[in-house]
Amino acid sequence: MAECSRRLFLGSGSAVVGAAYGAASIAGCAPKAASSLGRVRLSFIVKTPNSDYWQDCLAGGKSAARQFGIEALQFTGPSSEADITGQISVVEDAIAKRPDVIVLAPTAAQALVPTIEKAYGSGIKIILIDSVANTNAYQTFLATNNYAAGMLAAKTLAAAIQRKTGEAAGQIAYSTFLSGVGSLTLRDRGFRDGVKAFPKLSIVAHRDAGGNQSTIPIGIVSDVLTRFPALVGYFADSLITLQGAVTAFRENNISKSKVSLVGFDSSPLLIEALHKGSVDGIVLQDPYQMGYGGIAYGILAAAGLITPKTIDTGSYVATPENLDTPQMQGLLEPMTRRHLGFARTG
Amino acid sequence: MDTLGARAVRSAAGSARDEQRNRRRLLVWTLVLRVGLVGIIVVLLVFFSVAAPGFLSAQNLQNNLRQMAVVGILAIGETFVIITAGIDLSVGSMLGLGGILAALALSAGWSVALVIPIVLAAGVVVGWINGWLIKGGALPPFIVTLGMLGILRGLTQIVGNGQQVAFSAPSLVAFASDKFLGIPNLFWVLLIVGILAGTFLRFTRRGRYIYAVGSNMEGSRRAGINVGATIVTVYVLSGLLAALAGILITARQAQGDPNAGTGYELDAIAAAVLGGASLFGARGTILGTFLGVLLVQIMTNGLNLMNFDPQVARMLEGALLIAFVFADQQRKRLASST
Repeated sequence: MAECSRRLFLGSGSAVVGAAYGAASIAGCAPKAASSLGRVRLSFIVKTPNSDYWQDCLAGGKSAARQFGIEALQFTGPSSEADITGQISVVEDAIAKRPDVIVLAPTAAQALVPTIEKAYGSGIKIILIDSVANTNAYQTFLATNNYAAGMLAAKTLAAAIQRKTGEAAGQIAYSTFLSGVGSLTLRDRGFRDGVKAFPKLSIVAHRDAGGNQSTIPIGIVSDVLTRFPALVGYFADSLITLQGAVTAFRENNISKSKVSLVGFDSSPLLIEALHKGSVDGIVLQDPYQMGYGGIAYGILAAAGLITPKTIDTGSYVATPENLDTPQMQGLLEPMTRRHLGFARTG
Repeated sequence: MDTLGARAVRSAAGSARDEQRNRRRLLVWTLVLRVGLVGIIVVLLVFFSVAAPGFLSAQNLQNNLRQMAVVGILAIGETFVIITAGIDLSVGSMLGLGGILAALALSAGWSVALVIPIVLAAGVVVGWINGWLIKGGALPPFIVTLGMLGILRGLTQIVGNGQQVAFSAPSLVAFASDKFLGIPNLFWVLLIVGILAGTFLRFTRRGRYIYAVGSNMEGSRRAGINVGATIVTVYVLSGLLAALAGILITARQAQGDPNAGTGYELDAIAAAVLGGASLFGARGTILGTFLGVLLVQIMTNGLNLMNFDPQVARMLEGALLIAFVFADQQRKRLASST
């Protein structure tokens, strides 16, 4: 069977994906599927194209579309990650074009449900990526297991505190980018449950940046540092909040030998901060893989195959020590993978 | 039986009483407004000093000064425009464009000394286009700058490719987080901009023209004031200061962010109005605007330190804004009836 699906994908130009997704093709490979591949019409909608994270995800999707030679109607999203109604409109416009597949990263768990169900009900194959929606109306959901990733962040933070102060004990705090976002809610719950394994660590503050993308994420961390001068660790659950924390730590002259900082997602600024040791660990997701896999599974679903309901695209911790390994480099700068033309590093 | 004369005497006495009451009310509302802003700031300072742990620490005071700088500079530019009875909705987007242009130029290896004037020039050009369309094309400021808001934000996303732009300019980044005489450099910039702007507005002929144009455009024209040039000037100043704010935010965040400044135009307008500027024109001062920004900053910071949700500060800011304009309307109504 693996051999069979391998041929299906080889025909469209990627042995790597054929092997990676061999397990998915449980319904076998009808020749019909291979020949109809190029006619799959697909819409790819993220939370917003305006961030490094989503650019990586779009790069994965575009790379897959090119390799499979399919017709992608659009790669798009609203202008802000907080714009829920904007995304609903984008999805409704996409439905109107009658695609075979919609790959969607839902901005909110509940608000997108009616739209998703409408599309699913009209026969469009739905592939969800990155964040949950509270519905069963989809073929496959590819995402980081955010609960596990949150626990991983807690463990990483505890280890950094242990290394600096000799004991995983003291006050810690965390900030979230926007309440009510499925992936962040799970991530934060994972973090809080992960911290419970270290009874001497106590979470003293939790701040919500309210979806603000520029200076509020700095201000809220500054204020937590002022309010709790004995803080030993900070966790930021997303790219924007982590960058805010890095700036706040710098402006408040927080000693990196005293307070540990752990967060999520990469950007050039954060990679540099990791190099300098001003961030102790970054939990990395694989948005490139979500984009690539989203399209690959979309094609499988459009071909009538039964695809798995949930795929964990993995989470990994980058630290100042392992930063230069090829696996971390591939995750930190997924754009290099696009140029290399392969889907997964390490 | 009531004579006509007696009735006239009674009604005259009544209107004298009314007038007296109106005068007393006018005095109260004027006092509320005069004392209001400074009074609330003082009350908040005292309250947070007691109730918000760490509020009075040197580090926290410095954080407040640093955090108010960017919006403060935007709000000063906005004040010029509002005094002419105009509005500039494009400042948040101009901030974003200025910031991303600075980051792109720096990442291409251009020197800081070259990048700053170029980005400021971009702000001047955008402001000039706004002003030219408003005065020459006789278009409403709201529409022109709303259009510019969209154009500039779109342009920012396109030139920045929707991504954050990293660059290496340690001197600029250090400038944004360093202090001079214990006061953050960013606040020094705000202070210098504020003093220059205040001096221009209050003590120069061109500055006084801005009030005249806001008070009565046609009258100003007849009095020989070059109304067109005055209007272009305020939008150029607003664009210039927005570009400056963009450079500062990029320096502070150590990277260019295409989303920087989204929604800041409303913060800037709110601060100017809290500070006494009137959207109907002719009223507003740089000092008032500065106090408006300070009020919002202290409130946000203090409530944060007290473990309130940051959104509570936003709600209070909105409520205060409405309360201030209400007080101002009361004062105006009474002033015109006495």
